[in-house]
Amino acid sequence: MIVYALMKYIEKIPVRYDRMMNLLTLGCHARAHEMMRSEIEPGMSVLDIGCGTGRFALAAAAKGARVLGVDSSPEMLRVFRENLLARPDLQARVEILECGAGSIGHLLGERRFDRITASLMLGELPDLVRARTIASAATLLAPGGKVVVCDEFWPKSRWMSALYHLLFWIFFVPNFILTRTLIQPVRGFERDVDLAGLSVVARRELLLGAMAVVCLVRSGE
Amino acid sequence: MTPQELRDLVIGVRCVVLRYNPIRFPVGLLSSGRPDATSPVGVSGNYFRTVQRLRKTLRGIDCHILVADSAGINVWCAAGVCDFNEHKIADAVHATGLATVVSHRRLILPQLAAVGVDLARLRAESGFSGTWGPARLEDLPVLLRGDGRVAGAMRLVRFPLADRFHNAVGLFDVFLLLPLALLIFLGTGAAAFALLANALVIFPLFLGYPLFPCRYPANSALIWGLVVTAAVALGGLALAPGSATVWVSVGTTLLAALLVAIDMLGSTPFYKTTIAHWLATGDNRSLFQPLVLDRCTGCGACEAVCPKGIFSLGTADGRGRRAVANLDAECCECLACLKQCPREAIANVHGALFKDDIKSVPDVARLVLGEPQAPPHRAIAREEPE
Repeated sequence: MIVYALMKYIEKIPVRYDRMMNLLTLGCHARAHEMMRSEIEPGMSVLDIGCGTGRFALAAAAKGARVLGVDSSPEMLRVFRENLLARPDLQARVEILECGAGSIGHLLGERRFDRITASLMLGELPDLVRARTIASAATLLAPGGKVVVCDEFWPKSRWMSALYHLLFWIFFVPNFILTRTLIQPVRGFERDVDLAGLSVVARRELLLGAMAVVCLVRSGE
Repeated sequence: MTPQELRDLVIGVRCVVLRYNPIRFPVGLLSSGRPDATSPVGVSGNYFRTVQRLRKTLRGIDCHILVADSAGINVWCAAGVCDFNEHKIADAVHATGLATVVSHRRLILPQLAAVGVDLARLRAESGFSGTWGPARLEDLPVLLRGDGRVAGAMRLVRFPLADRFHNAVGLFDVFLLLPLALLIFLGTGAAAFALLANALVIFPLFLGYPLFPCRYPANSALIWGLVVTAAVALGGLALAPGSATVWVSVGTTLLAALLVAIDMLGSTPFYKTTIAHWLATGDNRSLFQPLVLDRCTGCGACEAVCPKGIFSLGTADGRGRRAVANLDAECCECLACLKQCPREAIANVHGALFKDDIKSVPDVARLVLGEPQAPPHRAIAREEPE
């Protein structure tokens, strides 16, 4: 919730978003992106859900991938478009679509992607929309493809869960004053992943387990 | 009282008492009565209390209620800052599988969401067409029962006693910061005094608003605030003459009075204006005055969404049917007309001089000047995937 609180606060100034996020997560935001970027290879088609200012999408395109960035925030996409204008070499490989994460299945129909990425955005979605987003990602995955998610996850162990509850209440007031919203780490992720027919093949933890980068493939692949 | 009713009551009270700390109703599809595949679908934001009120109001009417994410706040505020828009509604449509539940493809949307929802894009993203419902949910049953259509007073936003009370409670909560600061630095006496002064500044103003003589609410707030400040000064001097605490209390009361007056320049359904304009002229009318351009075709989109009833359709200057703006009416600068006009035919009489705190109208800076340009975000000029 701490990372999300910082994120929500900084989202109000999208131009400085990336630099601030990295500073405030002690460099973990950059490390997580580096881990995600290592999953991208030249020529791959990538769908970046919640692409925001396009930092990851542009990095993936720079590695030679074709990227479709999807986000529901016109403000963030405006900054993305400006960033894209500054990189004429990548423009042919980057597409931008403004829509909600829950609508990608409907809008992208028959398209398939080798990598579907989502960085710090699942926790912003209501439970039902998150489940739908993960299910859509499973459908949009090309054979042999991977979903790569970086997020804050609610811990499984009872003690850590209790600690999170405690932290949540301690940070409740400053969190709320700064962000005016309540965002929690992703809960019920395993169930959503199961129902979508995906399985976890790799999980790397950051910030003492507060954040994790998770790779998913279609079950049975 | 059933446990469910008790729970609803507790949450309802909690929503009012801690107004600016919203509780979110889970996004999903609710049934009212015994809806079937042909029953209408009403869309709601996910402020918990709104959904509660909606269910109560629609009791006995067969319909579906689609709860979409509005960040837990009212749709009017949420729509203005892009927290409630076509993407959020489309997400709710797809997440609930609405297309498999109903056979039609129509959504009834809250009228006050018009400042944030692009109907053409909603259709493209969700497969459903949106029509505007009434401004207040109390008028929904008339529409859903098929007894009438949305027109006239059903489109107007009001500020009745209950709403004014909720607004006052919310403001009082925010202003608790003043007594809290005094509690820490000066002890309980000053804090209790400030608490009382806050209540006196805020509640009589909101609850008794229609009784105040000023035309503009910021002026009423200021005058009333000064009266309370004077009362605090006299009362304090009588109770504890020469005490520094009294002067601190007078200062915080005056501060509260000024801040409440400034709040009246945009945080209520009244007029909206800038602090500078109010200070310079003493009136807090909005500096957005709709100017209908010749491009207008008289489609009525503005009339259907204006919560102040500013637009009517007429045949001004013998140029055929077109919208006519009544500039004497009280505009609240929600910009719903600007957002919904398919011809970009609405500009601002005062050009770029307006409060401009609405985030959900792309190109607003160009639109208010009436500058023509091929509309990139209108029509269905979405960035289609290949």
